[in-house]
Amino acid sequence: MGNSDVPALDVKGLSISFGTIRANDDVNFHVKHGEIHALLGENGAGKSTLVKMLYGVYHPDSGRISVDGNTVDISSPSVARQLGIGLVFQDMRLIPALKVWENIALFLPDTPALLEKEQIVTRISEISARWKLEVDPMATVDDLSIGEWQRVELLKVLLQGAKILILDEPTSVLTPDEVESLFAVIRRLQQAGTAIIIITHKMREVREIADNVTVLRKGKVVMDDVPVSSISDEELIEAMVGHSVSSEHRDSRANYQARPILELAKINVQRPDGTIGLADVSLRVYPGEVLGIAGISGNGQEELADVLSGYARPESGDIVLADKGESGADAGGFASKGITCIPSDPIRQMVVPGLDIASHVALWEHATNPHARGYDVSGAGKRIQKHAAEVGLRIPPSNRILSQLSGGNIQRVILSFAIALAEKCIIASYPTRGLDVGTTADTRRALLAVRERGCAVVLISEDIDEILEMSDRVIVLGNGRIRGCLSGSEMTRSSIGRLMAEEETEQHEARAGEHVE
Amino acid sequence: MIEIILAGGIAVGTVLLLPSFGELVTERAGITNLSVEGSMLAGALTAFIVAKTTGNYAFGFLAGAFAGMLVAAVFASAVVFARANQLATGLICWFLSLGITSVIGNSYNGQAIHQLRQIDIPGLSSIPFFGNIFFQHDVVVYFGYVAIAATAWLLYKTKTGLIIRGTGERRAVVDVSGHRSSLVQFAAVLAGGLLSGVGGAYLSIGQVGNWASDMTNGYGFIVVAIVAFSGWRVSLTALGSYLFGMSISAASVLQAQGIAVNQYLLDSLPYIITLVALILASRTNSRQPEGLADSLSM
Repeated sequence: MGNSDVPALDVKGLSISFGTIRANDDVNFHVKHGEIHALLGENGAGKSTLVKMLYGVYHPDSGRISVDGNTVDISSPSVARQLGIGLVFQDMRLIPALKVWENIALFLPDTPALLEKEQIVTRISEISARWKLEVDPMATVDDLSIGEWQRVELLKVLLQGAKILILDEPTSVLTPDEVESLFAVIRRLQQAGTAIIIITHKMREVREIADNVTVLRKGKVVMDDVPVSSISDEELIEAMVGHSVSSEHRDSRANYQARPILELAKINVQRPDGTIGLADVSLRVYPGEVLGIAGISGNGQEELADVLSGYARPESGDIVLADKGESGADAGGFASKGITCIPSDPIRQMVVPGLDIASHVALWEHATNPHARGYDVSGAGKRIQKHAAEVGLRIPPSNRILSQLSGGNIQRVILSFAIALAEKCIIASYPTRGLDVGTTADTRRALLAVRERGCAVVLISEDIDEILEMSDRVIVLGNGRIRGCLSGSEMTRSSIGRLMAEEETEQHEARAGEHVE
Repeated sequence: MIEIILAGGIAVGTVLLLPSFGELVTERAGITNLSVEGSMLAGALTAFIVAKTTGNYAFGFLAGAFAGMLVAAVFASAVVFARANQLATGLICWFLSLGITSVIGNSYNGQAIHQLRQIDIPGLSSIPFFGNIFFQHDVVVYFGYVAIAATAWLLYKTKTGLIIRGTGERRAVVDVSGHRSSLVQFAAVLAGGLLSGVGGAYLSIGQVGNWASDMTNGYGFIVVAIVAFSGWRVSLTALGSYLFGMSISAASVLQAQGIAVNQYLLDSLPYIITLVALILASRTNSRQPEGLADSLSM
């Protein structure tokens, strides 16, 4: 366990850039043996990059990493493992077709050339009993629950003798019971002197499990090695999301006196795996407004976008459209009713490799118009250029192959089409994710322009700045539920951040639709 | 007559058994090699030429193994390191081998060589019925028995086998575990080519005792089918190979007996019997290695 005064892991001035983006900028923190240290930050704050440097996946541009007081050069994951650094990946890395013991044998460097199954199974059982990580070594991984998968990952890391354990978002896929048993294991490991780094964006978990916390924002450490007990929730949120600067508010075009364009009442959606997609979601979208949907992705955003754009039918609840009354879902969604969507991954979901822009537009027109006959490719090519010009977007000539264009150009084509078709409402899922600054600005401007004709925008985004800059109202989603709805002066970084970090037990009663009435 | 059919089936089945196990290991590593037929042809011709000129069968088999491996090496270089399309590359390698062996082998067409000597296993060969069927063969048939056991042992009892199976499922996981999945795949394809070469050699110098252009007659493709329909299992792959051999043997015995059955029906019987049997046998619990979907460019 070493000298308790020397940190198990000490990071000094670590920096790394990808292109022009400084993913980690002068990061410092340290963990002692027997300490649970939380690395807190929003998505994209640089937590994963930092972890990858600690595990030898990336090599830092500058800075120094020490293990037990000795400066080390972690050039590869196997070097990290030799140094006793173990990482439990967020996306678990097991082979479903193989048995638990086979997966572990594959991973351990000291597995003998001739597999000694009994010996490996005994080793697994010993470690598993010691840390109360119950897994049947003979089970096929495919048959395990997510919680068991994670236990196997932990066993892998513990069997190789990790003294510094890094857990990357370990609770994101677990049920509350599984989280409890994971935390119990973490505490046992802590008592045995293991240094533990837990990466998370959940404040409740920091409170519950961590001794100290380091907060990252935009690649920088904004709060350095602070004891969790000495800091308030507000201070943590502030550190995570930044100072609450009041965003200058644009003139709103929202008309809350009019009939809602789209209304959801107590919508429930179950995911194919049985977990909750949306629970009791009620909201109204009014003409001319920008309704921001904030929250960490994977909390029901995808399901909400599908329900709003008519691609999926909820298990229960009502969808009311302004002109046509209640409506079911069909293949083209609500596109024929003037409600279009920009999918979260348009390149995967909308682009056929090898087709040019005009053909794509002809296909989309055909799919969204129930009365369409035949394909008017050359006409479609002209129309998209006209639409693009109308909203001030520059797109390449219509005979270019779409899949060979840059992401930004593809996005502009899809955006032009979605905007042209949107008479009532446009559902934009992460419309600026992965785009450069210029395209981002174009996209936001084009989306705001549709309000002029009374069209509403539902903006689903993880980027709080984007939400604040664009929205008239903000709904915060968490675990498939609406945690709160904010408008006007309530809309601040910290209020949104607090709702995002909140657990569902302390649910806000506020419902989006009721709020504005 | 039954004994003759079954014993003949074991011998003919060995021609398919060796390539089948080569392909089994290859596919378990996540690569579909459609040029098994090409490796068999290369093995058949090379073995024939070497055995004929040197008079040494051991040299013949070694040369056949090497030739089969050479075809596989061309295939493997393209698909493992350049990640070329496996189906297309496999077919091209087969066509190339077919053309080259036809041209080179032209002058050997119709020449004969005596077949391999039968070795009765002392004791075992005198067991009633079974002795005749299993233990009165040449050395390559016995080598086939060893290959079955060795493959099962390799795949399930060694770390190498574990790495091969892991590679066929999720290469990325094998790579992060500190192994080189592309080398594993390369080696697996080479091993497959080697066994296919031996299978081809056994056909030309062991079984029929001559060389004829395109003499493998689609066996290399039946091998790919046997492996898939066996559900990538050792036992069913062996069973499928021998069953195919026995159907061929049965067809030729029936023909020799002068039983009037349509020639083409008789010729297609082995394919039908083997496929039906394997499909029935593999209905339960067969699981395609995950990585193979990738290999079929799906």
